[in-house]
Amino acid sequence: MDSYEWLDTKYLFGGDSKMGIDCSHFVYEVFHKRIPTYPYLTTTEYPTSARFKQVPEPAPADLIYWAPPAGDSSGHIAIVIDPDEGTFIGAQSSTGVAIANYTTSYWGGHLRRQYFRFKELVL
Amino acid sequence: MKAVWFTVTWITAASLLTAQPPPKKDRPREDCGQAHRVLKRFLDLDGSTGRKWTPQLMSLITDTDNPGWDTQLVIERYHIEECQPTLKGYDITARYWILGMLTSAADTGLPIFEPGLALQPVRFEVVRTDDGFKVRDIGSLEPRVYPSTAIAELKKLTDRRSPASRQKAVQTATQLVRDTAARFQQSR
Repeated sequence: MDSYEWLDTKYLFGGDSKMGIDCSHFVYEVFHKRIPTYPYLTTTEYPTSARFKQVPEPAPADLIYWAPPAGDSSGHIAIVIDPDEGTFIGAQSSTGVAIANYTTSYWGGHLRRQYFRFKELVL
Repeated sequence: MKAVWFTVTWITAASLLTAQPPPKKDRPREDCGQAHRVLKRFLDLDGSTGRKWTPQLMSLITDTDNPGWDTQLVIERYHIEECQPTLKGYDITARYWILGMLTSAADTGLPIFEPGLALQPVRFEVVRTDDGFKVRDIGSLEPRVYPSTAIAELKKLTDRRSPASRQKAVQTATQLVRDTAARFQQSR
């Protein structure tokens, strides 16, 4: 999976390269490499984009989205790896690009999450 | 003698029953001061670093991990309000003077600054832990940074090898942050 090429890249707000990358640019770089029409969206644009649909249960390569608290405009986005294990890969400020588990108390606890699928992606 | 003993006993018992517990030497106020100081240290660190995941930051918060953000609010200043006691510590509201938002443009992904003056209250939970007070669950709240921090963050987004479009975007956003901050200062 192309996303693994980015493992250990440090987190950089607004970054879009191996020198440093943030969460939405990471998702974009991974998909855009395979799907040239894949759009760049900031995290909170995913729920309202017509090119993505919300799905109740994730499949590999779906996006996992954590909504920001009321009044905020950020949130977090990452890529689902294995729904059975609850793993995802994303650019987190605490770890850089890393694999984590969305069923842990932190990622699965107080943060509200949703799943989105790129409509043009054939699974 | 019996009457005297009875009277003394009665007075002692009565005074014990009606006695107030010894004053706790301004404990709540002291605690509130500590909670305030922890929140202030967090807000200052947020403002000056953009919430880098460092031991210094981790000593001030309860979060064990942290998301990444693709937006940051640029602030002129903040004001911390009074403590509201809760079962776990205090709720404390910070009032931010917002100058605008640093983000990336849809489609291009290039950095942009969107000016937008606003006064924004944010309620923080400052809770007691074994290691003293800590700010709780800040993970999903985007960083609020000073203009100088925003400009420093923008500077990291280009080098000489960056495409001209990216260099231009960083330059434009930097100037807009500077201009917005200056206009706000003049209007005060």
